[in-house]
Amino acid sequence: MEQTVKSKASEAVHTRGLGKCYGSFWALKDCTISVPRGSVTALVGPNGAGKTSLLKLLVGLNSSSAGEIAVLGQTPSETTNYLSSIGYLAQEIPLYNQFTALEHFAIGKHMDTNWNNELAVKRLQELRIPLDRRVGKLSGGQRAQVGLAMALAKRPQLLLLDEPVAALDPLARMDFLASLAQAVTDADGELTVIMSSHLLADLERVCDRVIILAAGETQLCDDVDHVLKSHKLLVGHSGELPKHEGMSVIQEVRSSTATHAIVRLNNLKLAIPGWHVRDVDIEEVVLAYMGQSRDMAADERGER
Amino acid sequence: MNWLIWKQHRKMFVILAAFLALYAALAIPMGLHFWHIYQHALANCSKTDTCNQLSGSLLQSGWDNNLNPSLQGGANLVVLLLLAAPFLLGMFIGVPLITREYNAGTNLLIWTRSVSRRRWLTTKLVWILVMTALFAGGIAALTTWWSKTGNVLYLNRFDPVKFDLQGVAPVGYAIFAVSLGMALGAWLKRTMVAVGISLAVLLAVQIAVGVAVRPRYMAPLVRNVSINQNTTPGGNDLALSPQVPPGSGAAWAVSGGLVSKTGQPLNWSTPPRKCVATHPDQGDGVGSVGPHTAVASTDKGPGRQADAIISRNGGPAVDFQCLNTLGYYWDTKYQPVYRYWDFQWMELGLYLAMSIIPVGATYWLVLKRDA
Repeated sequence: MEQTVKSKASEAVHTRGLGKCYGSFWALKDCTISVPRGSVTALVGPNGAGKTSLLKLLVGLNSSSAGEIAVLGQTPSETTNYLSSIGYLAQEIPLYNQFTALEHFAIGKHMDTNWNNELAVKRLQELRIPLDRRVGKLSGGQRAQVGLAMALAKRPQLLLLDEPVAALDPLARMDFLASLAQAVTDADGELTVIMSSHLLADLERVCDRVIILAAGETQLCDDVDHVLKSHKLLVGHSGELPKHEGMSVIQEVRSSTATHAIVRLNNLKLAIPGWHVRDVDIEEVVLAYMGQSRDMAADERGER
Repeated sequence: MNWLIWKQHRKMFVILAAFLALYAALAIPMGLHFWHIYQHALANCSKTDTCNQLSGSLLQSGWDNNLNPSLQGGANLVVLLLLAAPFLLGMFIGVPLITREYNAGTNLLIWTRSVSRRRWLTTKLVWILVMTALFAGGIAALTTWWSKTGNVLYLNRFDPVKFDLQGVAPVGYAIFAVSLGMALGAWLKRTMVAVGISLAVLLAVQIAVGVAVRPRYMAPLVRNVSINQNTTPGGNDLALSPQVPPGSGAAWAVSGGLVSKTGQPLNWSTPPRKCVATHPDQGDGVGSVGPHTAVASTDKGPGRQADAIISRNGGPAVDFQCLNTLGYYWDTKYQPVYRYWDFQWMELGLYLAMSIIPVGATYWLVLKRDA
């Protein structure tokens, strides 16, 4: 059941062993994450990994089945105080199609305590999005911008975005991420963002942290920089990778001529004689973790 | 919050107001027309001192002489629409109220403003239920008003088609229908399924209340009269039981029939053997008065029931004079006309009380269920 954990003041989100089950299905289990204030975190994982479940728990829309959760130092609840500190953009960007952007902003004016209407209007004007056209007639990218403006003009401390760019074309995706980056810059460290996505390319542009979620479990929760430093690709002649205490193998691919392995180094200075150590990009790391969890899930079901 | 509800539903409010205005435009001239017919008849009958003979047939003739058949068809359609109104309100206002938000995902947009779900739902509910009550109340008030003449002329106000459309009960039907549709919509999140189920439940409740509950709001009064006392001419089914009370067709006969001295109801298929008419006169006096009743009057008087020979439900013909000598009498249970408004308020109270269930269920679904 929900409990507020003692979280550090520097943390925007802290969960321990957080779980959510629907009937007998655990959509999220044993999720332990920590998100520092002012960071921009990518929450990645394949479809059905529990990203939406986690975000809804953080917003306070759903109640947890297990574990502890603290957001901005409190338990998510429906108090005005809590709700006004959270900005949320749900999957598929729900808006009232028959309302215009301005009418949406009027909702914010009437229902949000810290609403900044000027900010919302200015954002859309800069993007040349018509304010008085029904949002049902706007393009996907424009709708996403209206949705983002609805979440940002609340002036939240924590912004939670659930796959905001999944349905957008590449240009609209770039615009959206640029808007988001601008908002983070403008907030000057006062805004924490968690954005879920199954698109790896979204990460590097705006995010400084990454949480990898797969099969309902946290695989990784770390700084992007640190992830890149601690994960390496080892290339060597075909054969067993030596077991090492300071290193865990995430993914290993063997062919007749060579072995490629993505490993996590607990000791950054670790050297493995006979193997080439190469840098990896974040996409490779994420894919390696996703592959690993998929293989483990298959093992559990006895498919291999 | 109020702004949003108004913005979302104002079109519906305008449509309801338009319907109300349209109905007023129909009902007010019609009501005035009937009232004038009545006043005219009153002026005439007072000269001849025959005003106690005025009856509902006055309106029927006024109706026939003054309205052409297509208009009458239209009027019947209006009555049908009025009877269907709670169903339509449940379908078009109740069901989509929350289902639409779920289906578009806009509940997530609204529930993450700085206002709790409870306040959102309460505001929405108050607006919608108040508007529904105003609309249903307005429609029922107009119906009650134009039915004034008929009510004065002792047409049976307890008749289901009249009782359900007049007075305050229609407000209860509308509130219940909208709450029920709303709860089923919130639960199932699927418009068409929720519409189907809510219509079926509403129909079942309406029938059950009308048939089984309404007659029991207050213990009926009992009127016992001997067969001889009743001189109503035979000719229709109602004539088989005495009118209650004499001179007023406005009371509601809940049940009635012949009972023996010891209070046993007469079994028409096996009447006392003694009273089975051996040679029922199948001649001129026999009239078929419905599928199960045949009346044969002897020539002693024009349709005195006490002299009638009647068979019912395919049973043998029964000699009433014989039943009379055996001590059979008419036993009628009825609700007197002065209870009409008590019944209206009780019906309203019952439906408002029943509405608590769907309203409570909606709160539970919106507040406790995962978004």
